[in-house]
Amino acid sequence: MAKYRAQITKGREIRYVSHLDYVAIFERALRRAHLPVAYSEGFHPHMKLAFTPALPVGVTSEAECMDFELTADLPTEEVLTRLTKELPAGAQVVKLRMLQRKVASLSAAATLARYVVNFPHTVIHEAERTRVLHAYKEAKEIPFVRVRPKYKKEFDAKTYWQDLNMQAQGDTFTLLLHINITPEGSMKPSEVLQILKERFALPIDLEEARIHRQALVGDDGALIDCI
Amino acid sequence: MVDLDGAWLGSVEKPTRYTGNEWNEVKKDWSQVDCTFALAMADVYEVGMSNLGLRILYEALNAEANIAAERVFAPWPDMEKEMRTRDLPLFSLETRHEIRAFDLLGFSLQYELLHATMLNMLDLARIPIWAKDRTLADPFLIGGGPCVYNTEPIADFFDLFLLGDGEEAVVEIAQALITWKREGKPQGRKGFLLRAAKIPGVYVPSFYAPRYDENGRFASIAPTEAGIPNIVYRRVVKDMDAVPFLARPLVPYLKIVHDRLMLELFRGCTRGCRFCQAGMSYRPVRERKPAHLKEIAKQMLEATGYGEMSLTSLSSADYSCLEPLVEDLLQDYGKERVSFSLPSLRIDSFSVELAHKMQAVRKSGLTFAPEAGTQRLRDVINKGVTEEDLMRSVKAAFANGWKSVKLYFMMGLPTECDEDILGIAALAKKVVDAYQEVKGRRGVKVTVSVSCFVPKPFTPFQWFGQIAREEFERRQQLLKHAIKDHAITFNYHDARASVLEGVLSRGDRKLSAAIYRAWQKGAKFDGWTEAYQDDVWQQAFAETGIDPQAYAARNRDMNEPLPWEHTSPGVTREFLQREWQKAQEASLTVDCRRGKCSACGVCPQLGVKVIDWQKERAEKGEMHG
Repeated sequence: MAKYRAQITKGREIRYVSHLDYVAIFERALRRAHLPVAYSEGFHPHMKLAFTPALPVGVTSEAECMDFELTADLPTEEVLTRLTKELPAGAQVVKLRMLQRKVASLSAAATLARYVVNFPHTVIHEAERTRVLHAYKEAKEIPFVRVRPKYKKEFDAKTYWQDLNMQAQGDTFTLLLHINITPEGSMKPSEVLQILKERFALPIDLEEARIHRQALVGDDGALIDCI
Repeated sequence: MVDLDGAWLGSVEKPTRYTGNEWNEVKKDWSQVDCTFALAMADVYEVGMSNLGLRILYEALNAEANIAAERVFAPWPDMEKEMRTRDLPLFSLETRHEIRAFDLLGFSLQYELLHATMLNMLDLARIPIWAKDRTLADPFLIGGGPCVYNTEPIADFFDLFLLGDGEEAVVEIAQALITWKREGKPQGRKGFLLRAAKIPGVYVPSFYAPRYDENGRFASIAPTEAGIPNIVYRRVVKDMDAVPFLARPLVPYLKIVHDRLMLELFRGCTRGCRFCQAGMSYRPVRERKPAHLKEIAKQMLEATGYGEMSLTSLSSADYSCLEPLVEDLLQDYGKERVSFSLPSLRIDSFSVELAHKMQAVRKSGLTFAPEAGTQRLRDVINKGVTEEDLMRSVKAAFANGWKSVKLYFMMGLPTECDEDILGIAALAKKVVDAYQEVKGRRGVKVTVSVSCFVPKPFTPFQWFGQIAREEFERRQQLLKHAIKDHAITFNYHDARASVLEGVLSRGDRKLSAAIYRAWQKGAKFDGWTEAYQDDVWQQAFAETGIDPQAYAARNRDMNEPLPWEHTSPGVTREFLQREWQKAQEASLTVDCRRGKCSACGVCPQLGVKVIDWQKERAEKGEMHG
């Protein structure tokens, strides 16, 4: 028996794959790799896999994590090589480590997500950026209403949305966002973009946004390193 | 190449229907191939990807170094709206080339209610809808699949059709196209079609002209070009062990309708059910060798990582070596947690015991198809199943732990009367009671699904007038009220869509105007209950001067020429007439694979024979013993 944690990607090729289907990609790859994955007991045995909470559909990531258990104690290099060969474009293993001690489950470990959002062909001048940054900093609270088919929730976006950093390079405009993940909830990066556009009048085309998750951080650092 | 990078794609339902990149997808560099072939179905991805035939053709074509085969399915209306707003043409999943840029565009014709969606796809692809309007800048439109035994209603939209088994012929067609291109496309589009028409199984509709009598009724159809056959017979694979098989199936990212591997045990079925077009048009039975099947299963599992495999065929339980095959598969893959299943069960306890073995744990529900509610009517359709068979089977199922059973029936079969309808309710009730008898308690779930019968070409019922919509609805209500037990769930279809299917399946070339008109008025996804618009079709018929009932509801005279007889699966008119006669007498015909030959005409006409491995072994044993 050995437990492993893999830091995995969700690249452009598979960014619209739903969370459950994303899980299935790894299940099938593990089968193709003939790795001796441990199964649960009971009438409907399933692979013992655990993932970080669902990434919003359409967002890419280099910081997702998967924990899995093998019935044999295989060296990480071998597991990495065998698994990598069977993964489709967009689903790659960035890092693989053996879990040495009991750690917080992936569903609850992350407290902060870092995103980088690129807008190609978008020029936003320095004055405009300064104005928006100032307005963001000045705002004591940013009321936001999340509307879903079945419910409506009102909250202060500043509870989750920690920081704003804007950069311009050539005709690409880039936003760096830090978003808190708490037991009570979190925010989607697309919701922050909506606030920037609607409340702060940042002239961005939401359809052009390429949202990428760079890191998932727990209390002791990146999830792959705090094991 | 079509650009799908914008975040807008995230706003449509299930974007992975359109993004490709699945495991085992084949992407070729177009500058390195001589022929590009788009394989299509006029339905959504989840349906299209569940079709075994398209998967086989994809692999057979891509096995050729000089051919690139890619896929395209119908965009759901939300995606269509985005594509039209953004001025995006229909594109392939693999390389996102626009469909119009392909050399060949092949549609899998699964059933008639896909026709309008197909026209919509041509329009999205910016390909002229009528074959006569296409130029050298357009692909050749080719149709294949179960619908090809009456292509006349869509003949004017297509450049060519391929009748029958496609895995060999499709490559020959592509190679003929390559030769024609290399020679500088002599005689233009017609030049290629003349060559293609020489390939066995290929029907080029523009080389035939229909004639109608003074009442506008179909009279005859004849070739207009020299060297074109009067009757095109279907292509048939003689030895299923000698043709390319599916070894590296694509692994979709979203859940498709049949989300499991499909192991094709054999092709054809000779049980001789008189309503069944597949049973008539895929004859005779051609089995694969068990050893070969095991090898195919191994390759597919290795290549995909799937944990589920269905043993598919028209009637899988009839595979002569099924039991040893299943035992071997369970032994080889049980520890790897691969589960195996049969798509439907023959009504006997052998099948139930086998299903029990296959599903040692999960009891997901068994499906049986008695098709009709009384013995008399089951004999009319030559189903060859008795009430005792069914009772024995369901009792075996209940004893083995199953708690739910699905029963499939048809409504509107020839000679059907109210007694037969009420017989469905009575039979379902007996199944409920059988559970009580076996288990000593209640708690079974019986689902009764009743479809509306559509008479199809090249079946003994091809002369039979389909019953009218109102009559279907009356019989549905009659049955609904006769089912009183709460353990029984009754499902039935929209009779209007089945009547439309009845019109289109036995139509002639004049119907193309109505199909075109219906599409113009917004018909598409007619097989989807939520999308079906009956009024649009009725208006389209009225505006094009078509009387739909003359095609669907009319009992045809035995001597009347039929619009589909020049594209034949090989069964003779004499055989079908004999079977029609026997149906009226409720007299049975035995399965020719083990019993007497029923002289359907297929084997001598197509130069093919039954391949049944158990039988072959027994005969060889006798010879040597």
